[in-house]
Amino acid sequence: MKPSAFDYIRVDTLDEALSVLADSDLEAKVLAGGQSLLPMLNMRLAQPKALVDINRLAALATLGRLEMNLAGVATQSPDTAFLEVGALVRQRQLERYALEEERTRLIHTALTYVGHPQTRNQGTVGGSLAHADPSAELPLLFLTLGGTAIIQSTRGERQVAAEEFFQSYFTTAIEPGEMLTKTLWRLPVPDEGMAFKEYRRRHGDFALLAAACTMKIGSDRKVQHVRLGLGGLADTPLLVDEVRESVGEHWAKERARAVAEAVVNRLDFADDYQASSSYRRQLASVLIATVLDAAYEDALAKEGKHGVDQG
Amino acid sequence: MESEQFRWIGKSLSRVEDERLMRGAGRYIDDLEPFPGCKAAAIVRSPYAHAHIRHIDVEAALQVPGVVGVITGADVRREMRPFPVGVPAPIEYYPVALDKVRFVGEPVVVVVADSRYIAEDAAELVHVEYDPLPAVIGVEAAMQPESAVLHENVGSNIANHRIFSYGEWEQPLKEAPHIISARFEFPKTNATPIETYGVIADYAPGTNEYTVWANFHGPFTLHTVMAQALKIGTQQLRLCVPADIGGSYGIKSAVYPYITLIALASKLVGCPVRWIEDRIEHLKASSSGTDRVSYVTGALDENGRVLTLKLTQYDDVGAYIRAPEPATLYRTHGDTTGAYDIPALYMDNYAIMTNRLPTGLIRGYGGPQLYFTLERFMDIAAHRLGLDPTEIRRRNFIRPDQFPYRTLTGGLYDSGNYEAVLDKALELSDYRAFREEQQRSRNGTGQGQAGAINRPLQGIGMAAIVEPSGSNMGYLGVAFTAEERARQLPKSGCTAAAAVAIDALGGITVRIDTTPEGQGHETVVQQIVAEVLDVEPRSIRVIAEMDTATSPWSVASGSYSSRFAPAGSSAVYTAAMRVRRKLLHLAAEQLQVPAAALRLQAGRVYHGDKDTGLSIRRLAGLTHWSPTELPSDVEPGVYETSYYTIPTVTPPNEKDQVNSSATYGFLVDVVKVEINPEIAEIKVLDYITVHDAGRLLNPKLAHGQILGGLAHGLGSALFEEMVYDEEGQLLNGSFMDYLCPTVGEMPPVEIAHQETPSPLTPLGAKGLGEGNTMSAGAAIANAVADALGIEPTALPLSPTRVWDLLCQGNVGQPKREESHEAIRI
Repeated sequence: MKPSAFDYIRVDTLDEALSVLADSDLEAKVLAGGQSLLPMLNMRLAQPKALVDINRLAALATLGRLEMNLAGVATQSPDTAFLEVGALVRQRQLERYALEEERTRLIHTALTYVGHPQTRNQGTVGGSLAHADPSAELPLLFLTLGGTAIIQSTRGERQVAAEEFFQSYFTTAIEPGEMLTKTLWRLPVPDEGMAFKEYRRRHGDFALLAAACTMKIGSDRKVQHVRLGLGGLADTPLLVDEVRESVGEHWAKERARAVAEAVVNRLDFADDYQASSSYRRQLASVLIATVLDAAYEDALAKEGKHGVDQG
Repeated sequence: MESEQFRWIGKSLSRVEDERLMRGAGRYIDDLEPFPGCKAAAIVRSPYAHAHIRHIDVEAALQVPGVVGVITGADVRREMRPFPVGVPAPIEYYPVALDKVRFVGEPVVVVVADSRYIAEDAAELVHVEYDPLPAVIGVEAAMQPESAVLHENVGSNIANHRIFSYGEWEQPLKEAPHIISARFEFPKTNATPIETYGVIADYAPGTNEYTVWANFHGPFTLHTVMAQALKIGTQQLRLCVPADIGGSYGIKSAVYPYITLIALASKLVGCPVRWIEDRIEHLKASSSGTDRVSYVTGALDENGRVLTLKLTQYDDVGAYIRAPEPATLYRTHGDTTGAYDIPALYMDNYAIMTNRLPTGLIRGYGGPQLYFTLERFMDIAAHRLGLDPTEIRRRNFIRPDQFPYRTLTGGLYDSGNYEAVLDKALELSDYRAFREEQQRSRNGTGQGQAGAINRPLQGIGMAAIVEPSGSNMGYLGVAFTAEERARQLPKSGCTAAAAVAIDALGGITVRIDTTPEGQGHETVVQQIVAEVLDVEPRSIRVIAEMDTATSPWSVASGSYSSRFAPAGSSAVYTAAMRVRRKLLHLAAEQLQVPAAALRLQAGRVYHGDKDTGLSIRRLAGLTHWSPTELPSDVEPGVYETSYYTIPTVTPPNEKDQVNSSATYGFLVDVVKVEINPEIAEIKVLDYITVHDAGRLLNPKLAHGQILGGLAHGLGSALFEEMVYDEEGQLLNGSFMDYLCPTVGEMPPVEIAHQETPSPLTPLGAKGLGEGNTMSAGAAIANAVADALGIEPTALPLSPTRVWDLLCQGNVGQPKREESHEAIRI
């Protein structure tokens, strides 16, 4: 378990990094936290000719709120907010930041499932998204909340919506020579209910299945807005379309079960020694219903509070 | 020795080892550089489970700068003999594959280079051509006549088959009122120490001698096996073991083929060679426990007394039945009937070879497999008869007045009080209250209704097992028939060796043969010698390194089968007592008083209450500095050795009975589980375990050992199994998918003790640390059965397996009858 020989290039500026990546002879791979990359190198599952170490690029480690909408227009509305997460932000750093306020709580919860605190000290948000493991929590959350990925190269910068970012197993919209430099995450509005649930065999394990949900209900108790994402079921995290039928309707427990039923009926479930397809199907069914109900309960609790605040 | 007088023995001293380990100053095999100019080895391994080797091309590998040499099967065939094996069948096992590969990961070529990095680069360039063969997976498939055969000269995949019968085993199976049969499966599991195998070998051509450092821990019978394979005399193999080994739990016993391989590499390339195994290699190609398919049929009378047991056991020993297998079937021979007074037994034992990783020592070693079957059987029988599981145990337990108890199979249980341990466990777990609440809940909530259950289901389960310790070197003889044994030299004993020395300035040093891998032997040895000589424990230097050229040792040396407490400590105690006697004799001569009137206190000699002015330091000093002034019957120096064996571990007799272990402890586990039937997840609510390991030498260490054994048992109960596909590929060969329990998975555990000292050891101690590895699978499965009303028969009880059970059964219909007998607590 020793890697094959590689060149190690440590850069001090983003331009240097992009130049290295643009040089196809170098065949360089980005080294940030290394928590996924280095084991792959050691097991010789990946044999890049060079590693470009970007850990000194402080400009990629910014973390903070952006008050603007998706069109990039600054807005005074307190409801529309994005979290700007530099690619080099450590998972643990985001976890601690996200604990500070209610709107980022879902991010905090999901992050507590990502590996262990020790790996989160080193692993980066950008690294996790670029790695695109179909069972990983950060890709699931990024997709469920919605947002934008900022990708740069020597040719310039481009933006990719979260819905287009994850393409297949360990495959994203990032092209050779490009690097993910930051992501913008849509923050749920203050009274949006949220829930995250994951099934895994042991503390710190990869998810067998995971689900994230945000749901906004109005004072009339009708669903205004709902997003449900599933991880571990396909080659990328999935956004569930069936929930859209609930918009404009009153929520009820039967709805959660109906959505779960509809979703599991159209999905294929892998059958292997870790879990039979029958068991995965059951887990998915329970997971979807549970997380929808939990998001609704959370929304109710907040709506009452919000209603009180507003009143 | 009386415990009321003990100052050190039986006390919870902190470990002396911890200081260096916590500071990162431990010296493990990979920290050592015993030979200058050492090169590194990497091993090319088979990607196939079963294939002929058609051609090996090492030319490209040899061209890589930094490569110093390559070893192939041709070299091994020329230089080595097959390892002696423990069965009559002519299986040829070498440290590399010769003409055929028989398991994925089997070594094929060794590359030696300046560094491990370069060796791996070169290993990638070794080209091996294979002709794949059908892989044999699964014991029952391996026995089919149309199955592929791994060893052509053996003719079948049955490495060993033995039948045993004791007492009137057959009649009750026809006549008894209750006949119960079941089939069980126990998984193939690993031991996963944090430190992997390591070997550093040097061949000295001038003297034709090998010096090899390795984290090997015995049994040192394997030293003779290694020497014979290398075609050298045993004096030509100097095996050294570091004082610090990062865990083993049995699995490092099987580093021995690698010891010979790397030693040979050193000889052939002409320089010392180091090989440090990586994790992928370890999970795939080191060693493992056996998986077992067992069939049990038992007959019981109207009162639930077991009249006879018929056991058919199929153990998969992997691609080669390598020494000391089939020990996994015979280590527990003497305690096959467990804690029960069963009058008849029939056993049909098969050791089967399949295209998977070969097996060997592992914590529990046959005990987990045996007791999963036996303790599940007792529970199934209990429910068939309408008895509480605790009640059927009471009716079958060996009684206190029956000790020492000779089992049907030759085991000699030295001491015990089984019912008292059961009572304590039931009290601590509030068993009666749980049963009453369970009854109320089942009556009240109408659990008889069909349909989906979506509230958690709780259950309680127990296991009661005899924990053997201190293996008899002779037990493997029952793998042979009595006639075959008569033609061999007899084997017996559990010899441990120790030496206690005092130097010219009174420094006390002890050498031990137990090659600890983290058990804390140095600490307990300090306690024992401190007790005997009445000095401060920390003033005693314990040398835990082993050196076969200079340490006292014998074939039984090492640590395995929890032998430190019964055997190792006894040798230390005996050697220390010899030192004490010599010192007091010398003092008595000097003072002209009887030695019996003298005692040691705080390093000085007292006559009654009077300090005689003589100290240990002065007396020992005299033996070094001025030996001519010694009495004629006192030799210079202070160096006492003890080779100690317990006399009851005698060879097997002609009736295939053997006392397979020196001492037998006992434990009862009571476990409560809660199952969420929606997601088939088992949560262990709490785990009570009460142990009787005779006198505890250090309760703090015992506690740690028990927790470790319990975690390992929890592993096979809920998480651990090595999974292979039909082509023999290991599917879960990393810690991502081979699931060991971590701290996060441990339930709340309460450990309690009872001490019925062994009459066989000077300190009354028995071994411990393997017990819960043997019992946890059964205890948890019994609790799951109690919760669901369905009988689990295979481990681990992963959620997907539990889901299958739930789908097959009709949860909510109580399959198990309510107890007719009141619970006696």
